Formats: sequence, C-alpha cells, structure tokens
Amino acid sequence: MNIEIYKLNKSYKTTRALQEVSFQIPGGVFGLLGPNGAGKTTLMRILATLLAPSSGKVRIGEWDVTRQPNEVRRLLGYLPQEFGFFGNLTAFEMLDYIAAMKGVPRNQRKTAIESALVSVGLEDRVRQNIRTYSGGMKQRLGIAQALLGDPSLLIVDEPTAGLDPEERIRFRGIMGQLGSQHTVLLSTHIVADIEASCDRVAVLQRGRVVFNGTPAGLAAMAQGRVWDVELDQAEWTALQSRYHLISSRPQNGHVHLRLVGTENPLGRGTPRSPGVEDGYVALISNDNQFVEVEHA
Amino acid sequence: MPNAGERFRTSLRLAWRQITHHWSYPLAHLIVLAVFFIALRTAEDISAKGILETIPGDIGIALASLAGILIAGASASRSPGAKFSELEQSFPGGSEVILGRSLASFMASILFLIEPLLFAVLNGPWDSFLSELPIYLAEGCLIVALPVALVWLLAHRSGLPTWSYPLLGMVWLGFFGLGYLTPFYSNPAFGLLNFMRQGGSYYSEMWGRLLLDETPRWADLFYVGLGVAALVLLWLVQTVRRLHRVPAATPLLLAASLVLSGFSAVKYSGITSDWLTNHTPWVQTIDSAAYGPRQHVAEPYPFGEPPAVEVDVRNYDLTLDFSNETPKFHATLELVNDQDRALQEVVLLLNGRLALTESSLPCEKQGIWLRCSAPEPFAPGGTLRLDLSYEGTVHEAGMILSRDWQLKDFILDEGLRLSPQAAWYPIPYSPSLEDQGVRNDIFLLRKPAHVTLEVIQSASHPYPLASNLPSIGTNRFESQGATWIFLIGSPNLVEEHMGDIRLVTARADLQAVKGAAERYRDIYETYRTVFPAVETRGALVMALGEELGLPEETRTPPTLEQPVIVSSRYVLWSMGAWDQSLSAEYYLGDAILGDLWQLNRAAQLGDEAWSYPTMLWQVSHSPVWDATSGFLWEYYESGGDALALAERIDARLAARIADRAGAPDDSPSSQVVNGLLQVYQQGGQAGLVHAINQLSLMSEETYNTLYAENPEALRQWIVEAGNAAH
Repeated sequence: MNIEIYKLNKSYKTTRALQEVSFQIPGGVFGLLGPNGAGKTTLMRILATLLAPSSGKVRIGEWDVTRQPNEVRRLLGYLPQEFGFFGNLTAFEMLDYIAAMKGVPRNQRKTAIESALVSVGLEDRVRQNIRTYSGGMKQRLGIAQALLGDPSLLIVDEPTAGLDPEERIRFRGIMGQLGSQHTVLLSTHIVADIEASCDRVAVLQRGRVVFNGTPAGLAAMAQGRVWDVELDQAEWTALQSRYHLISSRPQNGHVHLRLVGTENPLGRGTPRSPGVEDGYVALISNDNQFVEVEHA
Repeated sequence: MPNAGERFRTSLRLAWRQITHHWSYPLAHLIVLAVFFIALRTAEDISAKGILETIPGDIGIALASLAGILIAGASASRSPGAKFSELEQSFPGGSEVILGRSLASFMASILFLIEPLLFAVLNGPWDSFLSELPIYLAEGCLIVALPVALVWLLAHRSGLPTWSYPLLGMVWLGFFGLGYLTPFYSNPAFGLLNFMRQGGSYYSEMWGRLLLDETPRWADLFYVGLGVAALVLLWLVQTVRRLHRVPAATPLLLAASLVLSGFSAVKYSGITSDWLTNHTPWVQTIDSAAYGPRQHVAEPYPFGEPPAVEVDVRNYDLTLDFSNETPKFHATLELVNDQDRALQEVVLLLNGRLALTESSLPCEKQGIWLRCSAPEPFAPGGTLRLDLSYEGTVHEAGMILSRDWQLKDFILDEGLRLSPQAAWYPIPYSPSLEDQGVRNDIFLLRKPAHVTLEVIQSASHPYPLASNLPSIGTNRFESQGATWIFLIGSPNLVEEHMGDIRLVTARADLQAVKGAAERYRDIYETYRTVFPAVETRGALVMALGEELGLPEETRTPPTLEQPVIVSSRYVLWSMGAWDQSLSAEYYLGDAILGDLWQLNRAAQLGDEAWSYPTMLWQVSHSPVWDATSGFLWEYYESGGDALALAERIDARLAARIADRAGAPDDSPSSQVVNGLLQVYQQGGQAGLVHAINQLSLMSEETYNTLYAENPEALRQWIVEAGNAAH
C-alpha cells in the first residue's frame, strides 16, 4: 500500500500544524517520530480521514483522502491516541459491532473477530466485559478492532503511551508481526518503539518533516557526536548548555553521562557509536537549521 | 451502499440495547407508571378514549417527549463519553449510523406511551380504546419525534455536554409555561409550543374532543415540518463532516420542510386569531376553575357599537331544520316594548354566521346585530310579531385553560350543541346589563318567554336530542317560561327518567352519574316540601362534560316547569362514588335551592322576580339565601328529625366559631340558621314553610336597611314569620 503525501498544510486559527509536508510511505512499518506538538497526530488524523487538510494532497493507494474518504476508510484500520469502548459490552460484542460498521459480512464476523483477538492475545478474554480490562488489554483490543476488515493500512497513534514495560514489549512484538502483512504507520514520541518495529521513519518538528529515511540513517545523524563521560556536578553544570543529555547515572559522587555534542567534553569523553535515539536527539536539537532529508 | 442497511440495523440494535438495558430505563417507566396510578386511581369511570384524549393522555405524550430529550441526549453523548467517537468516525459509511441511533432513541421514548395506553385498556371498553389508539399513537409519535431529532442535531452539531440535556428538558417544559405568560397569553400561535398534544380541548363522552376546526391538523404538520427539518439538518451535518460534500437533495428538503412548518404555524395561528377578531365578539372561557377573566368582550366591537334599544320577547316559536347541508332556522317572535317611549326599530342579537333569508319586517343584519324597522311606531307596552328565516352553521369557539381554543357551539353530523352564548336564536340585547359587568347574562332573557322548539333532523344522521325545555314529543320542546334555550344532540346521548328526575347524559357516563342523580332526586323531594307554592313537572339533571353550569359557569336558571342542574360529570361522579357531603351541599343543595327559591319568587312576584340584578343577589349573593341553604342541607341530612337537626346545626355553628378562633358568631347567617331552627322546633314544617317563603321574598334593600347591621332583629323577624303560620 503506497501512501503519497504532497505539500500538505493544515492550519488552525493561530497555528500552522503542518507546513508543506511531503513524503512517501512505500509499505512495511513506517514510524513517525517527533516531539509533542510536532504535528504527528494532525497528520495521522488527516490520513485517517478525520480531518480535512487546508491544502495539499494525500493519496492512499489509488484514493484521495479528501475526495474519496469512504473508499479510504474501507482500507483503513485506525487506532487513535485516545480512545475507548462501551464498557458494558464484552470484547466480542464490541468487535462484532465494529466489524458490522466496517462492512464485514455477517457470516464472516465471528472468524474475523477470533482471528483479531488471537493476533493480540486476547482470545481468552472474549466474553469479559471491557470495563474489567487493564490499560494494556484495552490497547490490544484497540489493535484488534483496527485489524477487523483486513485493512491494507494500519494507522496507530502513540500506541505505547502509558503502557507498562511488559505491555510495551508485547505491543512491539505485535507491531512487528503486523508489518509483515500490512502497511503500518506508527506515530510515537518514544524512539525505542521506532527502533524496535520500523523499517523507515520520518521525523516531524514544528509541522515540518526534518528527516525521512531508515532508523539507521536517523542514528547516523549523530555519527561522531556521541560521548560517554564521567563528570562531577560542577563540571556538568558548566557544560550542559553545549551538550544534549541522552542519559545520566550517579556513580561514586560523580555522574556518568551519555551526551551528544560536536566536541569531546573536557577531552575526557569516550566516543560511542550512535543509536536511533542519539540521532533523533541530534536532529531535533539542531534548532536553527534543517537537516537535509534523506529521501526514499 | 451495500452495507448501509446492515450498519443501520446494527447501530439501531446496539443503541436500543444500551438504552433499554440501562437500569434507569425501567426505573423511569416505574416512575411514569406511578404518576399515572396516582393520577388515575380514582378515575375508573373514564373511558379509554376519555383517558387518551384528555389530560392523562396529554401528560403521557409530555412525559414521552421529555424522556425523548433525556434518552436522545444520553444516547448522542454515549460515544464521545466513552471516547469511542474518533474511532467510529474512521469507519466507512454515511448517515445511517446516526439515523439508526436516533431511531432507537425515538422508539425507546415512544414506549413511554405504554403507561397511558395501559390505563386506557384497563378502563376500557375495547371499542373506545381501539377507536382512539391510532390517533393517539400518530400524534404522540409526531410530537415525540421532534425533540428527539432536535437533541440529536444539537448534540451532533455542537457536542453539548451531558449536563445540558436535563436543561434542554426543562427548556422544553418551559415552553408549556410560556403560553401562560403575558404577552404570549394573547398570542394563539404559542399554543403550538405546547409540548404535550396539539389542540387543547376538554373531553366529553357525548362529543369526544371538540377541537377547533383544522388546528390539530396544522399543529401536526407544524411538528412534521420541524421534525423533518431537524432530520435533514442532521443528515447534512453528518454528510459534510464525513464525506466533505453537501447532499444534493438537502437544500430542497430543508426548504420544503421549513416552508411546511412555517405555513402550518401561520394557518394555525390564523384560525385562532380569526376567531378572536372576526367571529366571536364574546371571547368565552369555559374553565372549570377560571382564574382569569371569565370572558371579555373583544375591544373594539368588531361589528359596530351596541344598540341602545331594549325590547322583551314574550313568545318564541323556533324551528331548526338541519336536514340539509346548510342548517335553516325559522323564528316567530312576539316582541314587547317595555320602554316608556315608542320605538322605530328593534335591535336583536343573532349569531354573526347566520344570514337572514326572509323577514316579515324590513330587517338588516350587520354582523351580530339584527335591526328591524317597526311598520308604525311601536308603542310602549305594545306587542309586535316578527317572523324571521335565517340560515348558516353555528360554529363558535371558547378559550379553555387560558390558552387553548375549542369548539363550543356547533352543528355537526356527529352532534350538536347550541348554548345561548352562540345566539342561535334572536336575543334582545340589554346594554344596561353589560354596563353592570354581567356579561354572561346578556344572553339571558330578562323575563321568561313562552318557547316552542321543533327540530327537523337529517335522515342520514339522526341522533337523540335534549334541551333545557321540557320535551313534548319527538324532537319537540316547549316551556311556558324560559330565559334561555339550550339544545344538544349526540348519538351518545341518553335520557333516563328516575321518578321526577330526568337525567340527560352520555351513554358511557350513565351508570356513573346515576348515583348522584338519585341523590339529587332525594334532595329535590325534600326541598320542594318547603316550597308548596312552586308547581313543577319534575326536574332536569344534565351531566354533559366539563360544564359546571349553563349558561353561566356555576348557575343554571330554571324554566317555569322545572329546576335545571347542569353539572360537570366529574363532579357528579365524585359525589356518586364518595358521597362527599360538602360537594353535594354545594353542587346539589345550593343548585336545587337556587332554582326553587327563584321559582317561588316567580310564583308570587311574577316577572319582577327575574329582573337583574335582583335575581342574581337573591340566589347567589344574599346571606339570607346562603344561610337558608345551609339550614336546609342539615334539614335534609337529619331527615326532618328536630333533635338531630338541632345537633347538626349546633355542630355547624360550633365549627364556624372555631373558624373564627372562638369569637362569638352573631353574623346574619348564624341568626338566620338559629331563627329557622327555632321556627322548626316551635312550629314544625308549616312554620318553616312560612318563614322560608317570607325570607325568599325579602328584598335586598330591606335586608340592607333593617338587618345587615342588626342580625338579632333578623332572627326575631324569622321567628315571628314562622309563628304567623299558626
């Protein structure tokens, strides 16, 4: 499923949420990364046909999301950032309703629901009221509903926010499996999710695309700028305006730091090979200039 | 749209389940059931049709529409409340899901009509229930559909918060109250905002609901138009939001529905305004408990200034022929000039809708005024014969409950009701009475006239007739003296003779009011022994509908042959069922004494007894009359036993003293009661007859001059009057 986004703009009353956004999603699991307020959710909502763009074009497969929203919806499985279900229904009843809404034929619904529930590991809880579900189970049920109707495209917005580590790991596994059968667009501000699941990634910042490439390419944005160093508190206070902190750990009255910066801190830093998170931090911390985007 | 039907059905099913399986839904039904049980537990005599066509049925629709607002509000906010709406917006489809859910809200609301229907079924009979069921359901559905559609539209358009739906319910209820406020009070169009049921009307088993012309139809179409407009807007908003386009049909549909609604509102208010300004110079209220003005004359007079000429009618020969499409009337009047000057013309009051076709004298009819020139000067004390033929239908409305209009006087295939206020026969107009503010009484003759009335019925729609005049044959009535003429007819009318009492009522009410009529007969037979000078041929009881009296609201003048009681069937029922002494004393005892008192005066004073305002004072304002009524009631209750009577009188007077916080009661009323008791104890029945006769002949002037300030003298006078019998 090919997705083309071309010169997409979305303005609210006083805010430009998206500015000239253009990129292509060829398939697989595509990550959309960016800080809070970067415009990720706006872009996802436009792709999910919930929001009309101010200008620009978006095509999903052969369909234009503005002109043919219903055709796009038939291809779509969507999991919004915030969602809920009718708590007085069982998982099966809820999914049965959603399957009907998505146009799944009556005689295929039971199989489709069971298959979706198996995919997310909820097959044992099918007759349980949703109000008894934990947050992670509800999130998995959200994925299950998105899978109904066998969508070509799954749009998943911030799926791991608020999940405990165990659920987050389980969720990444599910995403990985889905990517082999569907085009998955995963929006997140958690870099580890991208690292674990995505073939390609785009980074949005202040409504603009500042990177589009592979996770490895994103990691490479910090090549030669990642350092491990041990400093005392006074030294770190003096240096912190010139570096971006990736992690810090207290050790023997000092702090052990992982930093991104152009220079070796106090000449005592040990250079490290960068990860995706280092690349992302290096990218978004470069406030005043846009990094050339690696186009697909 | 291959899946639209399935989506519609599924969303309808789920929404229905979510509404009806919630604990609050059966609880709401229980509450409504309790409301109806409390309201109707004593109304076992109301027919099914009566329940559905009157306030219980209206309240049922009101509660259903209120439930509709709350249910629609809860249902419309369920998805946003569960944070499910963003998810479901990503599903394919158009407006079918919203329509399915709003239909579920509507269906769940309509089920609140079950309670009134249940009580109607229990009251029966089946044919009465089945005949009303389709109309009730259709009107209920129309009215409930509107608020449900409006709430869905508001919720969908603006995403109103959950707390706002009870508020909307209160606003909806508030529209009902709005009609009672100035300036809405005088604007008939506000009747449309009655959230209960359009076309307010009392109900009688005799004629059903007497709705005003086409007003219910226009009111229904007004609701249809608004409801369709709300649905079209809902469709429009949903389609624009989901598909980013405007459905081609919506502008046209929206315009058409709004035009329908507006046109219907104009027609509705036009009909009521028309009544107000063109047809009825007397805006008559017929409230059982009239809080506002009982009636007022439209200002300025729509048909010119009232005449300053007064004549009397000594004789009426009336023929009413409604065997043809247009009812025809013939009246022969014998007029008397009781002025002290010769008259060149006589002026009579005749319904504005009736057109003069022939007259024995040169006559001209302008609106309600019929002016006829005398061939030669009409000398004082002289008589003049006037033959009139006129035709047209009688179709008069009255305002009820201070806001709604209903048909009051009419000639229809399914029945007729002709009261004096409709001026269906020529009535000598008496401006002096109006100057005194006695406006109901302008329809009464100032002196009783001999009246014959013959009615020729349609062969295709024959039904029984009744009148306040004694019947002298099939469709023929005659009285030697009557001050008003009342004619009714209905297929449901029955006449029952119970000894001297003639009971006229609707077939469905007969058993219920019979008990009260028997009571009436007992009281009448006791009271008449005190008035031996009065010669009557029985008495008449009419239990028709809501009327507590005719032609006035609480008093019904007798004819020379018989006392007449016209009383609300509900009042008579309650007396039959509960034997409430106070009600019986007020509604039966006072009414019987009023008529006997009046006839006793007429037997001895002649026409003078009928003159206003003397008559009014004598039988309603006089403390002497009022006290005599109280005494005679105790006399009746004690069965004439002097000891028991004394005990009852003592208890009555003690109660009055208690009401006055122990202060001694030396009012004229207590002196009259004490005086009559003393007379009865000393002189028995003969003394009582004599004393009461003398009391009935006492003039207002005598009372005010001699006794109002000296009640003790009044008691002595009564005792002396009683002793004079010996």
